[in-house]
Amino acid sequence: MVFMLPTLIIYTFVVGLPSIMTLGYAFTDWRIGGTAVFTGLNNFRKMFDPTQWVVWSAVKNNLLWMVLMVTINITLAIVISGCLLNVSRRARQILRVLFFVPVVLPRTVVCRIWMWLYNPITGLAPILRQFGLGFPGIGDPATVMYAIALVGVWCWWGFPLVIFLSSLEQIDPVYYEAAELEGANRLQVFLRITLPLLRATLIFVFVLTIISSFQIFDLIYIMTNGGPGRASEVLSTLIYKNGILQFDAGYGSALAVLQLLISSVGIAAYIYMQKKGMEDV
Amino acid sequence: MRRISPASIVSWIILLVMVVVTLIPLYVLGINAIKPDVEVKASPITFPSILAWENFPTAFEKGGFARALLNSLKLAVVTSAILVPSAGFAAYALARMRVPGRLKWNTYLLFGMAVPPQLFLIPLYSNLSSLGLTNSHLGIIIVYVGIYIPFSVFFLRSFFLGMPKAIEEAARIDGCSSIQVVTRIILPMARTALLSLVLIIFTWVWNEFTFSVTLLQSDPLKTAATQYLSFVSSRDVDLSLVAASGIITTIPILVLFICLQHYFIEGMTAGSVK
Repeated sequence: MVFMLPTLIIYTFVVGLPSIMTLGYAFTDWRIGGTAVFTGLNNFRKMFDPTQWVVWSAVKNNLLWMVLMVTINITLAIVISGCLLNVSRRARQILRVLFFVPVVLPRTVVCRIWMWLYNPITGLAPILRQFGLGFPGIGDPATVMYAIALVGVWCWWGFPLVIFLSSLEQIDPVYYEAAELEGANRLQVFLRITLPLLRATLIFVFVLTIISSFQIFDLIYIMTNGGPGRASEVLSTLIYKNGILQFDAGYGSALAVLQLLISSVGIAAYIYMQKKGMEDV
Repeated sequence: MRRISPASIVSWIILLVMVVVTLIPLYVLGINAIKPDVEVKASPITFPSILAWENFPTAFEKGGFARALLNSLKLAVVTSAILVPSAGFAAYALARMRVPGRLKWNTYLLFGMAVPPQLFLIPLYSNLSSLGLTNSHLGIIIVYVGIYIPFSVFFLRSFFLGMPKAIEEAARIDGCSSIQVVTRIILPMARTALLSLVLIIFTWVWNEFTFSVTLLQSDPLKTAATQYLSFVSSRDVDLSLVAASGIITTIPILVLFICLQHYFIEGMTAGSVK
């Protein structure tokens, strides 16, 4: 038990205790450095005030982000890992590393480069226009979330890729040989053999992508700071702006509770899944 | 001669598209770092006609990167140094010893991995503020250790579970205490896992944004990643310097990754999937 102490002490101080405090502060009016005054459900009532429409716009953006991240990243990862199985071992190793590079790059630099690429004058747009192609921008409220999502996918999809690749490589070729003998075409092989064998991995990546999608903060904060207007605002940026920048920590805490509620299904699924994986101990 | 199947051709076409998409931002970063600013503004994708190597020392000095890179290094090293033993002992306890309430601790730690950091950010900031630990390296190291502990513990725990018990049992029969078992036997045997873990933590700390932008306000304390942002947002910074300083910030981690990518990738897949 003593072995657990250093870990538990630091973790509780950084994560455990403040999380509980947030739940408490959500019901108060509190400015950081001042005293907290209990105000009951005031903060939550404020969220439903018409002047606070940005909260629900942010919730929509969070959900949109989750859908985009899950669908694009997973589809891409599966398709590309499938393609990688059709190439030589050597090529697979090299491409695996290449595709993983964006995952390890500092997000600040990645964001700045993409902001550059998206710039209507100095970026890729003028070049693509010569080919008659359009290019989305982060200055347009209608496309901003999608433009940021492209960046999000660019610097994350390599991660599910290596996970799927690793699982695919472990599938015994015997299954494929048997299928071939039975005359199955590639699509049937994929749907009837590959996908079912990938089920556990698929579920894992699915849940992991969901919870990580709710943690989105840096990309949006750096690229648009919630703009243009409030078009790309998400709960994490709102919490940051209200709670830290504007010192309205009571309201910020209430928003954090809202964020927790929205992501709770994903969190519960993740915990459930991990614990099942641990049960054989 | 091997037949090239249509599946192979289609696969390669798709893969090449992804290679191009992956490389374009990196290409723009690299090529514009060695172009003089005039050419950068003309077009982001053309080759330089003159090689402007002076962009690098200029960016390095103007941006104060010597300090920033050292800060990042310091934070990464110290965080790993504290994290590895703490997580190692806890992981061993959870893997091999009878810890009361083990399941509860597992859930407790898993929770920290799954929640958005904004859940604990505000009171954490406030607590650190009362302790005078905002805007300090000590403060942020404590935070980093705290947030990366769950992953580290589960990562090492999986590894320890996979180790054969025979050696530990032999050691105990020889009279080793638990602490000695961990330090003399387990940790040395876990060298590869520890290397993977340290690499992953190193990368996370190097790239980390949310907490460093909140907790480190004064320039001399900033990490490379946040200093980069601060620099490129200031006035008077032309695009060639944006690219050059981007290279400066990215190269260390990129080189580290490419040299040790095996440990990295194996670590991330092993650490995630049970």
